Amino acid sequence: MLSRVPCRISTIWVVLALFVCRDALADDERPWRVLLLSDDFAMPASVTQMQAMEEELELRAGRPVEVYRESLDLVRFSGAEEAQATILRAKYSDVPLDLVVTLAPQSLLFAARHLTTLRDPSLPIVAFSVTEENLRDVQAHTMAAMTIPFDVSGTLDLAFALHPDRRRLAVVAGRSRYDQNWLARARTMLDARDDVIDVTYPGDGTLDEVIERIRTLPPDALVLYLSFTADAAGSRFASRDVAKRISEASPVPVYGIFESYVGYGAVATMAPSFVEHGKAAGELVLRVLNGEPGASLHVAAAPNPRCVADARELDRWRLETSALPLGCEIVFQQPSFWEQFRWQILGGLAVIALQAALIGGLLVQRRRSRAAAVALEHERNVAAHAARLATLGELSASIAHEISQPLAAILSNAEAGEMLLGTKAQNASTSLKEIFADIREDDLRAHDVVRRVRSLAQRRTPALQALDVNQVVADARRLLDVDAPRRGVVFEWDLAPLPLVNGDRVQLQQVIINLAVNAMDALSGQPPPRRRVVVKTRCIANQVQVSVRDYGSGIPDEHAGRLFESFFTTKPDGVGLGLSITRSIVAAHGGTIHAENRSDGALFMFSLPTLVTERHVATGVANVTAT
Amino acid sequence: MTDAAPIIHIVDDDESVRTAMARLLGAAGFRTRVYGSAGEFLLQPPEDVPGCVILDVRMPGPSGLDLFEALTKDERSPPVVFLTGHGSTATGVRAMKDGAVDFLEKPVSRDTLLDAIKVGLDRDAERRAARAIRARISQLSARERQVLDGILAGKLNKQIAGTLGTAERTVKQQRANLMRKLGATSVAQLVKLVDSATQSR
Repeated sequence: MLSRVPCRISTIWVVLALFVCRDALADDERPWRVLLLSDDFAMPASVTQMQAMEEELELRAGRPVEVYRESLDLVRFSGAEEAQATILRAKYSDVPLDLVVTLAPQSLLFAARHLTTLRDPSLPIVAFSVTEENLRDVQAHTMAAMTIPFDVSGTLDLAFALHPDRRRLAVVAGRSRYDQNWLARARTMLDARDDVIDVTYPGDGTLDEVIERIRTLPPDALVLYLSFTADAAGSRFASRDVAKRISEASPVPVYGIFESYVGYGAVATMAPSFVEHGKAAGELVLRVLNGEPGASLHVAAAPNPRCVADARELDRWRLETSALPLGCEIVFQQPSFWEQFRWQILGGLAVIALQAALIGGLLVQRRRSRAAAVALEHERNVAAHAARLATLGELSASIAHEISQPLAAILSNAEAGEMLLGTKAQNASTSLKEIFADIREDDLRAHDVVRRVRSLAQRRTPALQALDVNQVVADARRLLDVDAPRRGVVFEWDLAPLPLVNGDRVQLQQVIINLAVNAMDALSGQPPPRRRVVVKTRCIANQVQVSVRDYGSGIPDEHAGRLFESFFTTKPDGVGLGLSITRSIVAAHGGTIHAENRSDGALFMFSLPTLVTERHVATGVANVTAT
Repeated sequence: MTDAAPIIHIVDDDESVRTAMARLLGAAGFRTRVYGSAGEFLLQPPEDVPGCVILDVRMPGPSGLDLFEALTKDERSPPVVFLTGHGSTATGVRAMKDGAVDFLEKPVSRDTLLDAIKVGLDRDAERRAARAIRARISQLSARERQVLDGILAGKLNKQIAGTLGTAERTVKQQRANLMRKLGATSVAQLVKLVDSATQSR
């Protein structure tokens, strides 16, 4: 065992200084010298307890403490006990020790047997990590002791709490004396309990055999792992590592009696904390060193067993943490995704939030601009509607005439029929048939007028459709033909065959009526030969052109630039919206409108793209919608 | 006076209106003539038959008002009843002042129309009677006219003879002649006849 260092001096300079000027030091400045005997420094539990105890000494001693550490390893070298005692006596003959501290039972027994004769029979021994039973044999030599309250039964309670339906137990212990001690204690405990149905002890044999036995455990069993430092073949192991191998092989959960097994395959344990126990031991050592009354022969148990569980194992066996006792410490909790990547997540969320805000802002902006476009479109439709109503108002006399004609005819026919019935005249039935036919025809005629007026008067959203402009002109003509004679105006219609355009029938009709009424107005002061309006349709270069020509006095130069402006009017009772709306309607159809003077009158002409160049129309309308 | 049934002239550019109107008036016992425009009516040679004109105001070409204006210049023209689809008060008042029988708005009920036609025909009859008297008066000799003027002025035969420088007996003879020619049996009747001929136009 060359790798094992039997003695380690932690603060060499302190030792040297002490040798040089030992006597010059005041009593309370002299370092305390403590010999720490341990069963086996390699045991993880021992390391934890020892370190906790030494830390406590360093923190609270108030003066230097020299700790000499000896690992006796008596489990393996039980035959060399005397030899070790001889060596230690020789080794420490010149060291003025103040105290011997023993860790675990074997070293306590060794100290009791040999070290009192080391130099000073009154050298106090403080033992920790021992049991009450250990103390019974060595009480005479022991100044103080800290027992560690291992709770095998508590661990079993814990296991049963987590598995209320399992009562079969495999209790695992190795073949070393230490292991067998634990096994004996466990058996005693199990004998006292009546809630365990079936117990097996698979710990005999080599470790490989033990593991094979573990592998074949029935699925409703539990493993209670005690200690395994040696197998039947004499191979030595660290108990903690064996716990890990057994847990890996086991088809059922493994519970261990030591805290150190948690993290090495044990689901949970009910055991005292080795750190706390080491600290408590350090405290006790200091009280003895300080000569506190009552400190010697003091036996204390610390700390109380507590529950520690391995989150990974709980997860592996799908166990509910709610079954654990209150205050149970759950270790090896996998940090959640959130805990692991909190800042990255927050950063990502912040970026997403920023983007969302940006996108939201842009959407709001887009919606607003759309709403504005819709509102504008709506305004234009309202204005167009108002202008149509105004035009209808101007044509109202003609419209009334158009409607009263068929009504008059219907009334006369009806009354004639009535009289015929009374007179029983010859051919009465033939006449009546004619009368009824005429009545129906007149009714339809009146209805047609009403329908046309209503379509102009209705407030509606424009609907684009393929249209023959000549058809629209014909519609307008039916209204104008009634009005023109009243004004003494003669209309001439010069319509050429046209390709279709994409347009709203009512709005285009409105455009034509507007221009025609304007033309008639322009003729009001003219002598009869000049009271002519020529309406012409042509198709030129994929454009349908409609011109309205009058023979009035033309457009005064000072008005030429403002003709299509809103609220510009030369009529005494005009609002000045007609031409402005006319232009906006034409523009919405992707067309253009202009006015020009001729030698003897004015000409208004608008052009619309034909449906053949469909893309052109679509672009035009889209542009208008977007404005 | 003639016994021929009166003729109602219907001038309307709307064919269905004039057909219906003709049908109605036909059922009411009238003879009817229909015309699609003012020009058409004017081209038709007038018959010396009692009647009246139902005239639409608004028509292409010369309007109803234009036609009416032309008709008022000829005393033999039948009276005019206006029918309009959309009557303006001003137009109506002017037409009535100028001697139209009535100014009716379409659609018009049969009774209103027949009443107006009756008024028109009465007026036509009066005018015809007056025209007949005037025709008879125009057939009197110059001396008989002078005697008539004297009678109308309320003079005695003697006074008339004095004014004309003839014998009272001669005046008496001429007075009897003109009474016979004008179809009057008394001075009172004579005055009434002449009065109606000059008043009713």
